[in-house]
Amino acid sequence: MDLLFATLVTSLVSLQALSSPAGAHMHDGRHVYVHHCAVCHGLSGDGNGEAASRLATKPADLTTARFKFRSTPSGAVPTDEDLLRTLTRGVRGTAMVPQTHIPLPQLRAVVTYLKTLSPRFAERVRPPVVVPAQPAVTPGLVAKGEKLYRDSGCPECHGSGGKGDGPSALKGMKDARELPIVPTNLTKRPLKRGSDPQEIWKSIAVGLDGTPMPSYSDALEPDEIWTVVLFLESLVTQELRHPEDRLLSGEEVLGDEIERQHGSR
Amino acid sequence: MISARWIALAGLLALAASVPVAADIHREVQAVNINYEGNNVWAPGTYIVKKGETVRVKLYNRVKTDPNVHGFAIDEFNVKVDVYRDKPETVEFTANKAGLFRIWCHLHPAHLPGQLLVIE
Repeated sequence: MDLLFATLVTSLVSLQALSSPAGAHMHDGRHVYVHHCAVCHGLSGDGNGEAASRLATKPADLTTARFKFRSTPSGAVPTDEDLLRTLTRGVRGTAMVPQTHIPLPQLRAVVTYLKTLSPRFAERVRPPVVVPAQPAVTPGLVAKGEKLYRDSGCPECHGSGGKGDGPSALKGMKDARELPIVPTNLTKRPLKRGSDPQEIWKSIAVGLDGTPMPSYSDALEPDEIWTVVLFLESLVTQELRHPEDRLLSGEEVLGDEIERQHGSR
Repeated sequence: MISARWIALAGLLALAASVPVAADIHREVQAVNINYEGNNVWAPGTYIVKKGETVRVKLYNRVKTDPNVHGFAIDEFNVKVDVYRDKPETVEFTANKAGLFRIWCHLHPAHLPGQLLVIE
């Protein structure tokens, strides 16, 4: 009898929660997560889903709220738009494909749900960095960027030619979960977070949390970061810099379109 | 401001650095990478050894914030170690020349450098 009463009360409470817009939004987000995300990220979000063991790049542990691809300072939780951006554009070269088959309202709902997986999301969201306008490419700026690339220690991991073959890379590197990690080959495109120069600027400015890639915002001025980006762009062959080659699939085109329409960049 | 506990820790480590050890190692030093006020630094910041001594450095990365790895390098003695968070490393070298040498993070050169003083 007690069990029947408890079940009845629980059901009524659940119905009450679902009847509010916020509750329905959360329920929708959980539903999408369970059906589209949990197979890799796990039901709890710890990155140990059913498919995780078969993936070369292990799924993110969402319970730590430590995200590589943010527009916020190192150590800060990402903005909703950062999360939505990863959902719509995916992480190139990994199993995290653009989730553009899911309608945008449901993607926003899953963003809301993701933020329940870690208590860190209760922290104040720090404002995103502002990417200054890209300067015009000049030989002088590229040369300055090359010097800063070397002086900042980048070749230790990425190699003197940017191919990801620096001394530390050759010894073998690990991420914060102690999983093997390889420094990015910066001469190739696409890059995981996207190949736009603005995205490269952000990676240098705020770092990739949970990896050996630090934030350089304390070491380099915003315009100095741009010179490093220009240098890195100079390492990429012309055919790989062609805009059409940056887009891997129609899904990514759609992801870009969603961002344009909803201002998530 | 550096907190009193870090000063005390640096003092203890400096004291440890002055204790000779047995076998082939003449001098054993511990270095802890810490972060204060947003700056990463190896503590203690200065080490003093005698020329000709074989030095063993035990390295601890205690920085809780990202990135998860920091470097410890002394170019003149070919010392270059990547030290991951909570994964201690050990490096040994012979201080075969006298002088003042920079200890730095080769992965993030902007971090505060330390110094090694090798006396005759």
